[in-house]
Amino acid sequence: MTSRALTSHDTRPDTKATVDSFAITLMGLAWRNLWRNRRRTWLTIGGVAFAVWFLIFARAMQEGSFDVMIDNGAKMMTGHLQIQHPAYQDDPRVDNSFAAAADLDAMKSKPEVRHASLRGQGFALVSSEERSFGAQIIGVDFETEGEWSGLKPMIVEGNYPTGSGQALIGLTLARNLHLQLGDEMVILGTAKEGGIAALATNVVGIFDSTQPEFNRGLVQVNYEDFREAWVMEPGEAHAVVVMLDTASVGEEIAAQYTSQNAVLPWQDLMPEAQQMKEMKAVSSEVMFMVMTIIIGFSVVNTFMMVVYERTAEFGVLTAIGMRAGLIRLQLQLEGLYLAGLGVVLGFVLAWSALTIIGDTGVPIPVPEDALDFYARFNMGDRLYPAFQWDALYLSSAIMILGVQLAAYIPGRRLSRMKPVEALRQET
Amino acid sequence: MSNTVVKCEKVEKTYQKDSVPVYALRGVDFEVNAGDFVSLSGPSGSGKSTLLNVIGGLDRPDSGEVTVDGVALSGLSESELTELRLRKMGFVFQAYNLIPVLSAQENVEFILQLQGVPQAERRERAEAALESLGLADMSHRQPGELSGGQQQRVAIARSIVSNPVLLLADEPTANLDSGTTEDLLGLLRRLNEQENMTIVTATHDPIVMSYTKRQVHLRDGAIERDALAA
Ligand SMILES: Nc1ncnc2c1ncn2[C@@H]1O[C@H](COP(=O)(O)OP(=O)(O)OP(=O)(O)O)[C@@H](O)[C@H]1O
Ligand SMILES: [Mg+2]
Repeated sequence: MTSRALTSHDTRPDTKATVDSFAITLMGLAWRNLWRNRRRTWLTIGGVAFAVWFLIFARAMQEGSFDVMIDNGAKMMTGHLQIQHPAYQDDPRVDNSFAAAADLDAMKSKPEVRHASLRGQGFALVSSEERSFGAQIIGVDFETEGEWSGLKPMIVEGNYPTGSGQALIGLTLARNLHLQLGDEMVILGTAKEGGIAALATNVVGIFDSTQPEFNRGLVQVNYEDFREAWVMEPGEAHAVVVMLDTASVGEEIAAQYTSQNAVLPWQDLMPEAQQMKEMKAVSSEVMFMVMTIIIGFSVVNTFMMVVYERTAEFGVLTAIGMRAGLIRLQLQLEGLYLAGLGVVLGFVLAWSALTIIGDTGVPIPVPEDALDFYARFNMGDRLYPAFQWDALYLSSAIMILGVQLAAYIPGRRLSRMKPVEALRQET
Repeated sequence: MSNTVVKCEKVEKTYQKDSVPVYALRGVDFEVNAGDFVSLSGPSGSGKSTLLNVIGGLDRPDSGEVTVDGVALSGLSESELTELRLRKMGFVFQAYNLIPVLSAQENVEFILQLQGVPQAERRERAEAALESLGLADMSHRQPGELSGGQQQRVAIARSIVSNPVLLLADEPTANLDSGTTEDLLGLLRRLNEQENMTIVTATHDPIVMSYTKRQVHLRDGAIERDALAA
């Protein structure tokens, strides 16, 4: 009589290779289990995908609206980036000027740079025949800045200046000085090294901006006029002002460009815009989190249901000798596949949506009666969503961890159960 | 030859049902020797499943000791019990035995994979087990593509492929018609006689009892009768 049955139980797990192949089996098993209930699996994957899509898309729109806000600020005054004398930011004296020709050429040669030109800046007394007021004088390259200036569309009388001897001034200042278009305006300031800067100009344009302090005290004149009046060398300036393809590359360009002068992206030029952006980002991040968690919950719930329904099956598996740890590993793998597929799908959807609308932008919903206001203040009527990697990282992390938790909880319950209890569970 | 495979000593198991104690097993003393083919019968609720479960380490008795192939189960942890089942026991239940997403062949191989048997050997042994149960043609079908009787045969193939010392079956034929039941019992008898497989099966069915060498009858959690077939 053979007694094979009595000698067989010394079988041992042997090589590492078989362990590896079991890992592969387990992965395959998890994969096939995923597709037992296609409809529910797709629903779950769809839920994950939607959450990921939503987070990426909403972040992109938010970033796009930040870009609009920053662009508006940059166009009004500072540009996206400036190069200045290292001391000028903290101490904006006329003497803190620098020879800017090399930096200007370097900026112009960069592919991300749309416009770059020089500015001279100083405070001065501006006078009409009757009165005098203090104002900030900016000498700008009218030809270049006319391409992008946010003041240009805000001109309510006359035109944007084009050449020597011309000036653009704020509406309040014009009223205060009793100046009309074509009137002469004399500027008197302190030139470099204590000399006197004197400049006679013609008012060719009057602007009305949202900013009262601009209306009251901002004057733009020709850069070359300014340079000569303030006794500066050719190519000498207080700033190289730069407009980029998008505000978002500002920091990177500033970091890459090495100069003995200060290279300041808009974050440094408009610290209040940066702060506002950060504040908005935090509050909407909280909203995104809440949304994602709500969606995550229904995904987690569905997945947990699936696992509970399979309790008896897991009972059979333990009965035939599959350790609870392996069953749980299989569940975690199923969860990983599910979340992984959802993340990939959500990412692809968001990416395609952003690619499709990224170039044309989306219209900013503006109330009918505010259209004029928006046009006047050069807000632009479109925003261009900008993909943010952090949104992908955050949403996939939440989804993957959530579904892992959804596998972990019933898994733990399972390994605390006696096999009979699992077996007795109704299927 | 009288090699004891299962030994139950004073095994008691009480369940609480609506805070009323239900005595599922009341001090059962029971031995199974190598080569036995035992049926456990008795009315519903008499403790057949409970006895099988404590023998298989799926449940723990409140008192008493169960020893399988010389190993006292009370000293083992859950995972050691699982390991013991993997190495020494085969299980066949009334239904839901097979992993629905694996083919017949894969289901049988799965046990060997858990044991760490190399692939070539695994395949060979699984094919042999399926063939010996007349399932050679069905090895690539999924459980859903097999009849109830075929599924139970695959479950038996899976439970014997690892050459266990003991095959436990809880009403394996309950969902089968009488013809299929007899086929399956024929297979079990052949396993018992030719391979010396020790088998304990719970059943209601007189046909099953007629195939076994030894009939144990339970009532109210105690052994009422223990008889060898004539
Ligand atoms: N988890 C449980 N909770 C409460 N009572 C239980 C539990 N499991 C079994 N019982 C009770 O223990 C007794 C024995 O049950 P067992 O399942 O062993 O009977 P059985 O002989 O297998 O019956 P059947 O022929 O119906 O399968 C029954 O009275 C049953 O109600
Ligand atoms: Mg029973």
